[in-house]
Amino acid sequence: MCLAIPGKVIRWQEKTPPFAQATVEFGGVRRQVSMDFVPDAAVGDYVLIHAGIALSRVDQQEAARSLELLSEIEIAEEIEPNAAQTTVVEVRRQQQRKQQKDQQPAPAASRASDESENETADTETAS
Amino acid sequence: MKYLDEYRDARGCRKLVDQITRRATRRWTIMEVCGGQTHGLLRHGIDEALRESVRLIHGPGCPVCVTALEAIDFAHELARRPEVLLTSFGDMLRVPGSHGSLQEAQARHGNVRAVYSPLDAVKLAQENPDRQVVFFAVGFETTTPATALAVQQADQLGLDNFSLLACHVRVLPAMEMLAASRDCSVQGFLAAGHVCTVTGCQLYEDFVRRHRLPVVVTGFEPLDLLGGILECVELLERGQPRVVNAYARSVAAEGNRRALALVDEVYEPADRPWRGIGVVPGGGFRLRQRWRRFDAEQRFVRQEAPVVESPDCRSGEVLIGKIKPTECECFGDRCTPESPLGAPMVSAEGACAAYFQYTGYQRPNDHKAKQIATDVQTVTDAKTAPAAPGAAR
Repeated sequence: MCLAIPGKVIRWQEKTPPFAQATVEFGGVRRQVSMDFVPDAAVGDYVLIHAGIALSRVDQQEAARSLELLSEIEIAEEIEPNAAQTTVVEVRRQQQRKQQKDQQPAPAASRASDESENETADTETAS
Repeated sequence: MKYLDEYRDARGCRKLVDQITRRATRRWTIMEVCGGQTHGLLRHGIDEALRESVRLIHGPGCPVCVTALEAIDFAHELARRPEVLLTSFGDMLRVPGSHGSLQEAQARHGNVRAVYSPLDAVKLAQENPDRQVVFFAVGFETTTPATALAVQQADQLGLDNFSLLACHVRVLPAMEMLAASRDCSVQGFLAAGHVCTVTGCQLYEDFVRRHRLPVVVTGFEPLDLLGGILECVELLERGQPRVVNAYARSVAAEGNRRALALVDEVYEPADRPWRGIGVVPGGGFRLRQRWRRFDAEQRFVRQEAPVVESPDCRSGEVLIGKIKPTECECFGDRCTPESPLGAPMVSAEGACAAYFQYTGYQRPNDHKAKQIATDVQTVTDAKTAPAAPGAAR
């Protein structure tokens, strides 16, 4: 029942709540979807649909990041054959550190700083 | 489809399985709360792939399975009324009640419709002003915004022929109950990703602090599931009970504020009986006073009738992860998706259905054939080796 699938916003039909509506495409199939909870979604964005209602906007950056992570592992394994200690979590932390340095745009940066707080908490508990 | 196919990559999955196996220094017990995830784990063979390093316990996150029998019987009763058009999600219609399923009620009375969305039920009410359209509303926090929106739409459209049989359940009280039970063997939780798209992750912070169990917000595709398990194993190995969001592409830390605000306007938390489990304190939602006129239980008088639950069905134990579906004597024999004894065997999120579909269980005939073969063998053994009864068991 809690299944939800991502679909691409094709066209907005109606913006007034509680009847906000857009046409959304799921792998070739188009359907009217209620957009009341994601009023900021733009045409071309992907939204997560459950029971005919869009519940969230798919964060493309986050989506790309988790996949990049996997390709990073491949590289990590190739470089050091004894990669037993390098887990995805560690690679992700390294990435976040790198991102903090690169100073990402606002939303990503705030998330990164959240993570860094957690990380400080980690080190504290560890020590 | 984008954002689905990439997360089903087999090579990526193998990498993650490898990582988990290497990281785990012992076999950890992790519960996936959501039934959708149970199906994902079994469909892709993740439980088998991780057999050595993780023991997966299946949680109660199947709303159709925990919907009280009284509610199903009431829906059945409504479906017998000629003026009523009873609507619900297709999954709900297959669940057995005291007097059969709603699908059977449809066959007999023709008043039941499966809808994709509660908003479709509002449309039906608009199109059928002479009928009372009731939406049998089940589901966790993922679904509550949808039914709250349906109520709001019906209100704005001035519909007096639309009502909800509201049986929504809340995931956190159930997790509380499991974590507090004395024989709880769960060491970490995979939180249902789609519930969190609405609620956010913060609601678990307090839970994690009190129970010292890690909670990892996890998606539904194989890479998501493995990623969530890896995060959880990592937290367990480090001894750091924390909330981690491993499904960040869909889940924002604060959830969906608009959806939460509407749910809060329409519903209030209430105690609710969960089928097979009992009353869960704060385990459900009911319509607030202001919206009670959309409550089917207010609109229609319910006839008190005794409920008839199958005495052999052990779905309660399955739902709290106490037994695996295959440990039930009826599994696959007297209880199949075609003739179920309990809801978990028919729901698309039920653990019994997952085991039936994906674990290559033995059909009853095979089972019987095997039993006969064993019996014959025992008899032959006993005949050929009468001097050594120990050898023949």
